[in-house]
Amino acid sequence: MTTDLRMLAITRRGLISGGSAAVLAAVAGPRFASPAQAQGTGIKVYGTAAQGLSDWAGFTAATGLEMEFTPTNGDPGVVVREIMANGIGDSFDLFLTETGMQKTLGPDWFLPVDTAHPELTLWSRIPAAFTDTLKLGGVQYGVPNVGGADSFGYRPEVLGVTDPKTQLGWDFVFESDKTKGRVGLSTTLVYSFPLMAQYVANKGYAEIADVTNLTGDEAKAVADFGIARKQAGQFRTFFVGFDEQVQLLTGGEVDVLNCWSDAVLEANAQAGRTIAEYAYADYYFKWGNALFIAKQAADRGNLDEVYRTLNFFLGGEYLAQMAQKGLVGPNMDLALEYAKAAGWSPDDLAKIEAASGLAAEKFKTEQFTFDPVPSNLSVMEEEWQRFLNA
Amino acid sequence: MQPAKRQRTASDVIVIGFSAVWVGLLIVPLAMMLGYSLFTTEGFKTNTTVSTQTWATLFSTGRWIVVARTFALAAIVTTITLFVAFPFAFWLAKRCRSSRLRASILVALTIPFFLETTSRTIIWRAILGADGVVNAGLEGLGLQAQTWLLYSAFSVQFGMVILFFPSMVFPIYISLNLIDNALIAAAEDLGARPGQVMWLIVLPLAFPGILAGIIFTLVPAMAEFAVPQLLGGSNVNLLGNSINAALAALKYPTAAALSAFVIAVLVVLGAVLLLFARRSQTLRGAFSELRQ
Repeated sequence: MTTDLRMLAITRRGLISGGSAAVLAAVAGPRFASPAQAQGTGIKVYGTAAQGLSDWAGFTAATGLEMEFTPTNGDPGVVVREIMANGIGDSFDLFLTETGMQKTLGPDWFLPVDTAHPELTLWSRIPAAFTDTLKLGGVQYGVPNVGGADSFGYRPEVLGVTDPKTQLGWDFVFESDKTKGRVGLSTTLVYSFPLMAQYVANKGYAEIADVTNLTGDEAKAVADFGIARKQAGQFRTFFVGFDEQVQLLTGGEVDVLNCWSDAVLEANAQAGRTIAEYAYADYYFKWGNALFIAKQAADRGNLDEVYRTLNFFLGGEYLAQMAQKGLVGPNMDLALEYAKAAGWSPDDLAKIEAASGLAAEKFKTEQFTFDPVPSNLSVMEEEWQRFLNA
Repeated sequence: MQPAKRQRTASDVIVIGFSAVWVGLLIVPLAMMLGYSLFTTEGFKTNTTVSTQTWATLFSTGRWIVVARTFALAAIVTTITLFVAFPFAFWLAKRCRSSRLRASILVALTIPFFLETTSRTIIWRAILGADGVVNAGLEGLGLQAQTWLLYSAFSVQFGMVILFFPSMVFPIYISLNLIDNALIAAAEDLGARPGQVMWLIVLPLAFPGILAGIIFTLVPAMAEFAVPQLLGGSNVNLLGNSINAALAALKYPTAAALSAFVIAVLVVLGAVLLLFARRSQTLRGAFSELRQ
């Protein structure tokens, strides 16, 4: 007998609501409500930290809403757990997470997007290539956010690289003696395991059909390779969040790590000089983020505010700021238009143009598209744990 | 003649009430967790058909090694902390002449409890790291920087000893403080050497405090995952990290099985420690009789 995981949430809510805790919450609840929500001018978003803005004042000025952004490290497993088991949709309006999440969470946890909503004025500009990836059974569940093609950060003087556009191999991460003992790898299974699997497949160490959704035997082969490299001393540390990525680079603890591109930008900004570069690699990890509406938002009477927020995320002001980190979205022409009108510096304008060009260039080479919730996640998780435990 | 019916006293009501709460809030959830460990996960759904498959995968995937490693590391940390904390607590209770100094030290020992674990731990990265204070000092002395100071078993053990030091000191200090100085003086007057005083008088009487310190250190050390993550870089993958990974994949039966396995180990350990505690109580009672 298979029990839907929603039963878990119901049981936990039942335990909590049946007791005196519920009485206490009912009495204390209004005092602990978010001030913005209590006043009806707030919007709550649970999303990947890198896609949040450092200052939401522009959002408030444009929409008249107060943003309450709760960052997460981007681990899809954590997001699924929070939504399905912990019921955060009861308090959050929007989830900013990976494209593809609608496959697991779509009909039960997300509200279908009303693409004709009067507040969603920028929807019609989005190419179908962006929106089609967010459908399930023909129903639109997500609004495209930003995306990219990830590789790895590195110290150019260690690898002997003088031209940042030099294409580098993933052997610097997994097998090079030049970087042995100086490699950082993300602990996020669905981020690092496919990268390792692609390397194993490219090297001919194992036959792999889909690196993002490994079967038991495929996952075992990849984990065996990883364990051998781990025992050979290839990896120095395994990191969790964005801040740790930056710290590893600025602290000189690693020479190579499969970090986000904005971790390299932040590390260089903190150091005041270029201490790391983001690699042009022989293959990439293609990803895209999207915004999903919590199903519970349908009954809260703030859908106009939700769609106004969605429209802001599609607009030039937001995308121009994302482009500073090398991330691109569906309306990059609006980003350039906004930056010019706001009087941004030529360097910042160049970053917006470069971001679009860089994405196009990366997508010419080999890349696989990230699957945040592969159907073989269970066996992949077991083999990943075997690798981490070795 | 039938015996008179015993009147239910207020203390009986309290005991019954407390027991009911204890069973409801502790035993029942533990039983539920044990029951949940007999389910399996398929995709993101829990299959409630009773099966031992989850327990089998615990051993086939090597997850049980994490429990063994965690227990070993927690035992090492507890032992080191005990050996460092006991002399300090003894000095504080019996040798520190200044009451002002003693009070200051006790206050200083409480300060870490007001700080969150991550905040207390992350500073050690700047000290132990490749470009940290220690390595800068070593290089200043013409020595080679040591990379094993961070992201290693050493850094995890070091961080946990620092973290749990106050938890070990306090119960031992309280227990030592309760030892009548006259007992120690009498033993010395009778010709006992310092080692004999410590082994035959002080340690048995301080054993309840030592036992409490061990429990206050060992049990949280088993569950600790912030220090292994921050200072071990997941090179030292412990129980907390493994359970967290299982929860992130919504593998609740796996997390339940891991937790049940650990609780079983701790129950056995607790029984052994209780036996030692009873022996210590017997000794304490004997000393009380001698004094009378």
